Amino acid sequence: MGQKENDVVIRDLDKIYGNLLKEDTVALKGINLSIKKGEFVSIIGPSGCGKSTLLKIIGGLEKLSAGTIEYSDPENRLGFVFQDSVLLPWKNVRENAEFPLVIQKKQTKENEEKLDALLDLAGLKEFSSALPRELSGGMKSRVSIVRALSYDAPLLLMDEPFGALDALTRDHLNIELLKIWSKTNKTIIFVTHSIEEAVFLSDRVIVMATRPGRIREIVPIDLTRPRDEDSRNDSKFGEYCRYLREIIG
Amino acid sequence: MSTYQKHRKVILPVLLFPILILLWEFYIKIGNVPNYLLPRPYDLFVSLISLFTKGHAMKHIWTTLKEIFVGTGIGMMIGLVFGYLMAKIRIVEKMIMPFIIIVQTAPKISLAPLFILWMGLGIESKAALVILVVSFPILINEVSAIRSIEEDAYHLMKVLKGNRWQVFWYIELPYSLEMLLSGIKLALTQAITGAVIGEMIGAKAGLGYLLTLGSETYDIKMILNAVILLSFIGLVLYLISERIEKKALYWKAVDQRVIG
Repeated sequence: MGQKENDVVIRDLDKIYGNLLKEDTVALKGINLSIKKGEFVSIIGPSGCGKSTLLKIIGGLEKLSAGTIEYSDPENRLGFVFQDSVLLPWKNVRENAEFPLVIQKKQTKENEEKLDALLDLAGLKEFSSALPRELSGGMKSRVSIVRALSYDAPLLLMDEPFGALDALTRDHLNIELLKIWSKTNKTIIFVTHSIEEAVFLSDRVIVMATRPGRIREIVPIDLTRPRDEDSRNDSKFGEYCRYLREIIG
Repeated sequence: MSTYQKHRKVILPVLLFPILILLWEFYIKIGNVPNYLLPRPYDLFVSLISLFTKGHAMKHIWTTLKEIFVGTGIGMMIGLVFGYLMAKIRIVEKMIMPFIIIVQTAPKISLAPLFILWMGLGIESKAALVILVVSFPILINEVSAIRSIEEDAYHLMKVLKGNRWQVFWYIELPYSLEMLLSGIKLALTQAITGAVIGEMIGAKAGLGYLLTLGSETYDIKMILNAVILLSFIGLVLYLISERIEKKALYWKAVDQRVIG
């Protein structure tokens, strides 16, 4: 596999939290990972394994202690979807989704049209002028995803974006996310604690172990695409889930 | 909804008002209350009118209002700026906070004579007192408003590569304004108290000055008129600030509608 095909390459990454009084806490140890362009990768593992920390480091929100991360995009543009949708309560749906364009001063006609198409794709168009307080959790998640897609970042990082939603809404949004992903050609790194969600969405599932946080195994998911409700009934889907449950323990 | 139900909040107190006036009149008749202790409602009303026509009521009202507005405006600015700095820079908070608390624990009225000695009988001393009263709650609220902004809002700005100024303008300022607007009612109420206390200790004009003048000359009507005007000002300021708050914080209104 050539270097050019990779979107993110992580080499020997460590994350250590220094502590003056006690021993240092090793949050991540020796992470090596390459993520291909356009790939959908999920990170899964027990709580405290550092999966969110790893995502934040990739997103530049936390510093790494050792190792390197290379991005294919020279400007290192990325979108980040947080667990709480972090919408600005005084802005309506469209204004929230448009927020990155405002910050980056990229409100061109072309980008605005793209944004409207994205809102349409996410089923938000008719709620453009609704305020966040009027939206359900699922709708808020959609807005925050559209916001992360609204500017041309090739890499999308998602930190348990559907973690607080009910199972039905989550399943529904998973399908929509795959639709959006297939139309936008983004590379997605998706942190979740749901094995089913990871298997359903991903090309590869990265299983992490705890103390110190490290990669235990990388499991390629060989299910046909496009995936829909029926994919969950596939016998292979069940096998992957069982296998992952076993190794996570 | 019938007209009555719609305007019940206004109709009921309006109905009670003439009853109160009659009780007042009745009490004076029955109890033989002398005029210098409690005037008849009609006499009081006449004196209120003459205060406006001959007694320069507008001058006094304007003086008090000016002190309230100037003091509240500057007090809010000071509270906002120092609150912001204290929220952002811990060392500033540690340095300033003890002094602020010392000043704040002193009863405001005890500082009024000082301010009047330092700044004279004009608007300055009263405005200073209002500033002192208003700035503290604003400052404390601003510190907690800035500190309660969720970390992910800052993360979002970092991911979007927003600069320091944009973080201030798009995130911190709106949250500060929210706090400011929801605190404006309380601030104005306290501002009236501050201005009147200052005027009662020493002034050349203002409704608090009328209160002191009335009590020194045993003019019960003047005292009552000043109280009535102050209550009226308080009510109007309350209604205005409530309106501003509702308009500006439209996005906070309690609403049960949820989409999706």
